[in-house]
Amino acid sequence: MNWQRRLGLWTLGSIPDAPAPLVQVLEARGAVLEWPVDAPVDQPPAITVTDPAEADWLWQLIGEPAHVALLTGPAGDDPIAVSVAWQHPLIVLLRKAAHGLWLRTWWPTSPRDGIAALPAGELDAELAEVVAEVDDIVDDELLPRLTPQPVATRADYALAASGRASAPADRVIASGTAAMAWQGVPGGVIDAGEQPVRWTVDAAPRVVVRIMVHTTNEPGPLLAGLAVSVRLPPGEAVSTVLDAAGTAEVELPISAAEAWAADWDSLQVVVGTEVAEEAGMRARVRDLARGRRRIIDAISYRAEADDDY
Amino acid sequence: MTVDLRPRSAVIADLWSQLAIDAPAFTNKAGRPLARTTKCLLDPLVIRPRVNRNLARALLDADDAAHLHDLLVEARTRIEDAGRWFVLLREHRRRLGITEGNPQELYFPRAFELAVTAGAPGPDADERCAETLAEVHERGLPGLDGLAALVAADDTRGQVCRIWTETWTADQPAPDEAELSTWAERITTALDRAVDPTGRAGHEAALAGLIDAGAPRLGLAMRATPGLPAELLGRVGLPRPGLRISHHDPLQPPGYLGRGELPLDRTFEQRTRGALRRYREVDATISGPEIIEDEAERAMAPFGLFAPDGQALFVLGVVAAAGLDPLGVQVVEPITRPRLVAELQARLRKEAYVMHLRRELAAGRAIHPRQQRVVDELAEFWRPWLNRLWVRLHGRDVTETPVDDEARELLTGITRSVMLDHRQQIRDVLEKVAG
Repeated sequence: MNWQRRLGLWTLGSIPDAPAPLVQVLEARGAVLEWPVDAPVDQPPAITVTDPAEADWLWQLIGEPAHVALLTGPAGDDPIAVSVAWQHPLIVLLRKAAHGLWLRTWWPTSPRDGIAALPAGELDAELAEVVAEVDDIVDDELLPRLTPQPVATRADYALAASGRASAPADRVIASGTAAMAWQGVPGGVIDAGEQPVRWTVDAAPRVVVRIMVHTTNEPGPLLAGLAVSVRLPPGEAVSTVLDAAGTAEVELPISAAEAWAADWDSLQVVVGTEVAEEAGMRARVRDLARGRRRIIDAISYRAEADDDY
Repeated sequence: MTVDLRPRSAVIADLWSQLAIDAPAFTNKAGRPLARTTKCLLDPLVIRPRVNRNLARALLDADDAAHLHDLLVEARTRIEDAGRWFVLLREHRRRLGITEGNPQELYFPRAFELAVTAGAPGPDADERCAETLAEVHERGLPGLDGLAALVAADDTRGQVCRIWTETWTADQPAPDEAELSTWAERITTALDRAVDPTGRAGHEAALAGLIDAGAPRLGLAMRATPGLPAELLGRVGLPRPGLRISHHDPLQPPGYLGRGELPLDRTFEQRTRGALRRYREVDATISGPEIIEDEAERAMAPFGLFAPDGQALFVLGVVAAAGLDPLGVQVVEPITRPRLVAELQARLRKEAYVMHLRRELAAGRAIHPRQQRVVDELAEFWRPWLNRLWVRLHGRDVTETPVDDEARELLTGITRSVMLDHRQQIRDVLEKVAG
C-alpha cells in the first residue's frame, strides 16, 4: 500500500466517496478512520492523518514499519510505499466504535416504516465499553457526550402510530408530499421514512401552504425551529420554521386566482437545510437497518437486536 | 538510514509491560499506559523531553530506547506509588462530590508529586489528599478581586496612563518597499519551514530571521502607518479583507477597563487578569502593584509582548490566521498557503467534513437554525484563533518562557483547541436539548 497525500493530508487506503449516511467514521487521536457502512467487519479503515505527532498509536493498527515510514518519508508529496501489517482484532474493535457512533447518528428511526428507535442509553453504555478498550487511540474529547443507561424496558421503544390532523379538507385546493434530506436535519427528530413531509394549500382568502411532518415518537425540542422553505416556481422561496407540533404555515404572495391556476406539482418544500440527497440512498440505509435487526456479527450492539426476531 | 527506528509510543508501551510496572490506575485493558499517563505524567515528569532532547522525537533509536528504559527503571517506584495516590485522590474527589475537570489530567501530576515527596501513601494519606484537592480546586482565583480593585483605583489608572503617554512611541518612519518585501519573504519562509517536524532547527533559524528582519519594528511601525497588516497579507498571497488585530489602524494604546474583542485591543484589566492567571499556573508569587507595573510596560512593547520571539510568532500567526477557513466560505480559493498554514487548513477542512459525517453540520452549514451564531463565528475563524494565540503568547511573555522551539506545536495546539471549542458549541445545541 501507499501513504498518499490527498487534500494536503497523508492517507492510507481509499477514502469512501459516498454520502454521509453511508460512511462510518471514528475520530482517533491525530487521525480519522473511515469505512463504507456495508464494509466487512474486518476491512481495514481508510486512514487520514490529521496530526502525525498526535497519531503516535498508529503502529498498533498498521504495524511499526508502516508507521515509521510515515514519519521518515521524503519531505515532498510523493507516495510512500509501505507494507502494512494490519492488526485485525484492533480493526474490528475500532470498527465497532465507528459503527456504534453511526447507529447514534444515522439509524433511520421510522414509526411509519416500522423501524423502531434504538434504546439510546443501552447503546451508549455498550459504546462506552468499546471506547474504553481503545482509550489510547480514540480521542475522547472528540466523542459525543455519551449517556449510558442500564437496559431499559423495551416497551419504551415500541412503535406507536404517528399521525396528525390535516387541514380541513373542504378548503384545500392542492396537497402533496415531499421528501427530506437526512443530511439537512438532526437525527432522531423526523420520521426517516420516505416523503415525511405533507403539505396542503388553502386559497380562501389568502394563499397559505400548510406543512406537517411525520416525526419520530420522541422528536424532542429540536423539532421546533427547524427551517422550512417553500417555493412555487417561478416565485421566490419563502422561509419559516416548524413549531413544536411539527407544522408550519407559509403565505405565498399570489392571488387566489393565480393559486387556482398554479401548477402545484412543481411546489418545492424543503424541511431542514437544503442538501442534495438521493431517495435511493435513504432506501438503502433503511434496508441496511432492517438487516442489522436480524444478524449478529462482531460489531453488533445489544441495542440493535430486535427481540421479535 | 537507520533501520532500527521505532515509534516512541511503541517503545514506551513495550517498556511499560516488560518492566511490569504495577500501576493499574495508569494502565489500560491492553496493558499499555493510558494516553493521559503518557501525556500528563510520563512525559512531563519522567521522560522530560525538554531536558532529554533525544527523547522528544517521534521515532527513537536503540540508544534512545535504552535511555528511556533507564529513566523508567529509575522512576518505577515513584510511578507505582503515584498510582496508589491517584486511587486515593479519586476516592476523595468522589466523596467531596467534585466534578470539575478531568480527574486524570488534574491528579496524575499531583499523584506523582505526592509519590516524590511522601513515598507510598502512609497514615497521613487522608490529610495529604485533602490538602492536594484543596489546592487543585481552589475556587476562583484568590487575589483576583483584590487585583481588580487595585486596577480600577483612580491612582493606579492615573499612574498607568501616565506611563502610557510617556512611552507610547508612534514616531516610526513608514516601511519602504525593500523592508516590506523582506518581511513578506521571511514570514513565508518561517511558515514554510515550520511544517517539517524534523526541521526544528531550520524553523528556529527562520523565526530568528524574522526577528532580525524587524518583527519588533513592524509592531512599532503599525502605530504610525495604517494598513500594514493588509499590505503584508496581500504580499504573502493571503488577502483577507476583514481580518483585524485591533479596531484602531494605526494602532492605539489599549483600553483600560472592560473587554476588548480583538487581540491588541485587550484592555489593561484583561491583561492584568491574564498575567495573574499565568502566575498561578506556574506557582509564582508576585504582588498586585508589581503585576500592574509590568503589564503597564508590556502593553507598550511591540504587539504588547516583550520577547522578540513572541512578537515574531504573533506576526506569523496573523498571516496563518488569514489562511484558515474551516468551512471553506471566506477565503477565495485557490490560493497558495505557506506549508504550515496549508497543513492546518487541511486539518480544519477534514474536521469540518467529519462534522458533516456526524450530522452536526449540514455540508458546512447549520443543521439546525439555533447553530447559526456559532457557524457564523466559525466562518471568522481568525478571530478566536488570534485571540487565543495572543493570550498564549502573553502568558509565555509574563513568565519569560521562550516560544522559539515550540512554534509549530503552539500554532497547532491553538488550532485544535479553537476548533474543539466551536465543535462543542455546535454539539451543545443538538445535545443539551436532546438530553
